[in-house]
Amino acid sequence: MTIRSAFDKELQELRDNVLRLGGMVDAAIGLSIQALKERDQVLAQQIIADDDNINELRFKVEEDCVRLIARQQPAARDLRFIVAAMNIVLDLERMGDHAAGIATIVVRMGDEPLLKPLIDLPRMARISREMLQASLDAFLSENAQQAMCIPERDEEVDQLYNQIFRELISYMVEDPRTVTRAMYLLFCAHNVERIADRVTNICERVAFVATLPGAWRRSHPRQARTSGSADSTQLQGITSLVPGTSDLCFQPQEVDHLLEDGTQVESDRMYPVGDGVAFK
Amino acid sequence: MVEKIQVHNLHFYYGDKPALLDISMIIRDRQITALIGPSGCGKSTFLRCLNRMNDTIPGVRLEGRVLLDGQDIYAPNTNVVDLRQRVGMVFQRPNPFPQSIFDNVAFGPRVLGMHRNGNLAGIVEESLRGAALWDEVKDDLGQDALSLSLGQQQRLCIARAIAVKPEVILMDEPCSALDPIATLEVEELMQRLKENYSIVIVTHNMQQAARASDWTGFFWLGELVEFGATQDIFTRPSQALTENYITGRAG
Repeated sequence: MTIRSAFDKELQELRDNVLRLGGMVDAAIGLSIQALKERDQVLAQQIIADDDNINELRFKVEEDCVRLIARQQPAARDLRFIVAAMNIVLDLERMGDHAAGIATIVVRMGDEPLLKPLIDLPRMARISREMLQASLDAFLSENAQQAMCIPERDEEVDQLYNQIFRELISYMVEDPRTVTRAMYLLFCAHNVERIADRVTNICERVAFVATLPGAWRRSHPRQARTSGSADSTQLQGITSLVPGTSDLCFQPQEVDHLLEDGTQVESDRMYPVGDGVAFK
Repeated sequence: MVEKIQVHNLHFYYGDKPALLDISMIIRDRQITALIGPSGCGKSTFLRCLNRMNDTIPGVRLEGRVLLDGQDIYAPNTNVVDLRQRVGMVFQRPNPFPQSIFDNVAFGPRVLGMHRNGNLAGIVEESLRGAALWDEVKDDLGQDALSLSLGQQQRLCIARAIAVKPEVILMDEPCSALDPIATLEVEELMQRLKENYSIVIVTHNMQQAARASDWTGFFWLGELVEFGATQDIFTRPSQALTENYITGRAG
């Protein structure tokens, strides 16, 4: 027992709650793909309803963090851990929204037959979930090196997304009557792609807890990758063709980053908080 | 940033018992340097080495060098009275003389003969303003200093310290006897004082070090475990021992 055993117990509870939230989000992603594959609208409705539990736990964790900061005056690693937990639950909650977004598409699709068999999309989801699970493991073990290996897999997800994107574009070009059904699948894929992106945020936070900030800042994986953002622009063009879908896309913003020492790093694409596909 | 005090390989012994082991540190000009560590770790001993307050203790021995503006303060030709005028001190418990407010602040200038070159009342007012006490006491400078609140007494001691125009102010747990509001007032005052003085503060209150200082040194068993920018020490210290101490898991 340390001289701060009560505080340590609260930090442990915080860690447990972040992991519990991670488990809920992981399950929601898995179920949303299952609902899509099986066209199970009841399951989809359930996922949408259960998203409230995810939101609730996220706010509870945030409140716990604020309380710990106010009452325990954490410093150094404890402080970094609490700040990281606040950021991670935000990302997890948004990932839950993406899962609920897929479920909402399943409901919207109704009984309309799928445009094509689902092959790459479940693979994307599988990789994204493996990344999420690995990031939560790294968070639990506070293993920064393990965490920073995970974002590499985001490339696989992006490649699959680009493949799906090109394929669905061909469908739409060949036969405009497929546009609506293609868009549904495209938005599902887009939700999964964003989930994987958010896993990389979690990995950066794990590195932030364990090491110097340079480690997570400079290894930002999105800087090397532009395909996702190019697709987003194209996606916007397409939404203008399909009535009622313009609100389903988002506009990436150019943001210049300033490091603490005042040096400016290359412009990176940042996404506004309300990104992703809001089907609610 | 200008290096006000340089400490090189300082060892200090009470008799045969070592109290400080090979301390090297830079105190920067017009910055606040906080010294933290558990009781008995040597931080107050170190502070008192900076204006030779330990000289009067029998049986002590010091090795290493302490340079004030590049001059060794332990050199044989050092005038200790001049040194202590340049490096003033504020103690843990407010210790005003049992005299009027005016006489407390005027004490140092009178002893040093500063009043002969200028007006004493002006020095007293300037010092009391500098210590953020003027507005509270200006109407009755003749009142007994001991009738002030503890927080006011401590600010009076700071006024007394700055009345002799020091360059460095050493503070040995200046807020440990004060309530939270008086503590914040002293911290606020420190931020103003650092525009003109270098401040070194020993504190047991780690939040105070985090709030008020620019640089922090962590002492442990007579050694300086880590010294660095306060924001680094309290967010990402480089030593595990520092981490354990400031997170409350050691000491």
